[in-house]
Amino acid sequence: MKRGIKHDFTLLALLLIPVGVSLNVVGYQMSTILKLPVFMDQIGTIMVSMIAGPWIGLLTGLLGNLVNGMINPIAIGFSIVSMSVGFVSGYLSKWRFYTNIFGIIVSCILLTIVAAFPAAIVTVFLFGGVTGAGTDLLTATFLATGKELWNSVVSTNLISGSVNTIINFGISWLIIRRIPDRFLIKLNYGEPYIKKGVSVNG
Amino acid sequence: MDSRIGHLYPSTKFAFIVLIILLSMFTPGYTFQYMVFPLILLLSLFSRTAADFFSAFMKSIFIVILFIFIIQVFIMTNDDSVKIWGFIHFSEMGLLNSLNMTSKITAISSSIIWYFQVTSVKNIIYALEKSGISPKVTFVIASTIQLIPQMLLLSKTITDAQKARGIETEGNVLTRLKAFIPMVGPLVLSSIQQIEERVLALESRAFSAKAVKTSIYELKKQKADYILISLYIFILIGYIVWRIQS
Repeated sequence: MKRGIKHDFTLLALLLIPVGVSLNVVGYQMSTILKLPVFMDQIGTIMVSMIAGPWIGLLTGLLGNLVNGMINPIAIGFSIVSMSVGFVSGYLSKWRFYTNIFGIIVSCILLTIVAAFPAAIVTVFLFGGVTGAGTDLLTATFLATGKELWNSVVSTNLISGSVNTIINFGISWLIIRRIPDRFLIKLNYGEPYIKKGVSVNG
Repeated sequence: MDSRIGHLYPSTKFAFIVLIILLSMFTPGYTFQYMVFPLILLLSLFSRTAADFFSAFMKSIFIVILFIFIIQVFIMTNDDSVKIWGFIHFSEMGLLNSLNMTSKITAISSSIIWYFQVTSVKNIIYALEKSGISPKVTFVIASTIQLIPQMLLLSKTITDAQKARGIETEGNVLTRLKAFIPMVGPLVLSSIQQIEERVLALESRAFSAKAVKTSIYELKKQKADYILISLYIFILIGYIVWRIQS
């Protein structure tokens, strides 16, 4: 199957973008309804990038933050974070990192780093160390112990980001396992997730 | 949106917020940037969205600005920090820094909030398509904005259904986390089914055809649009000349 920026934008993949974005919104709402300590606002981005590739993943991240930004413009500043998560996760899927447990651990670490550093850069330079979420308390605690701003923001992002990434990834992975094979086969990057032992042509 | 400002062409209003953003980025100090907020508030009074604008601003931007002041002035240790109590310091450098930062955030975000409150998505999509952006892109944007409220409604239905079947949504963190999959799973699966149907529907209406498409919805530029755009250009040139001279 041909893959790459010229071949990834099929109509099916394009229609996955709105689903991914709405899934991010729904995930965020659900995690507040269930009073969970983590925010599942990346499920859609990770899921879409896993089955539709890096470029569609990048677009999902961008569009999600732009739509959020219509109500809360702070989100526009952070669009680079979701874009890099979608992009890197798409490439990890292309290189079949998500098919074995070792690859999954490596990719969770990679995704955490990829999300934490752009987030820290945006937080420090645009918003003076503030994101407007509950994690600011953690940053303030680090600052109160005498650490520098840059250091505190990166530590906060790595701590909260690693838990977030693992849970967001875990849920997207579980959802993808439930997607029927006849849909996965139509997508450029869906092939690694087709269940083994089922004959594709039969 | 049903006001004199609401009926302007989307790009006219967009040019206005671009102008505001440019001016607030390149003007030193923070007085001008803070003056943008009352200006936008005044504009939203004219466009009859003042209440919505104020509540949206307070909910999102105000908290961030407050946090920036607290962290930069009282908690972060700068060279000129004066100890007040425990870990709380007061720093003039931090105050100046946060004034500079928050003034820009206020100016830029309030203009963006106002823009999306006075411009309907339908008009934005129409203007984007007119300016030569591929209909595929505009379709994705439009359907994203339509799909979010639909999915939220559907997720509510699914949650109710799962609750009726006895799902546990209370208890410790692990129990609540386990409830997540049965609540999100059906949502994704049903929307994937919808995607397949939508692809067929779109293709049967020649969505991927390369021919030029016409629109049943029309939006024309009025006289006011041209006057406003030339006014912005005039202001921008005046500003550049003034900045170079001073």
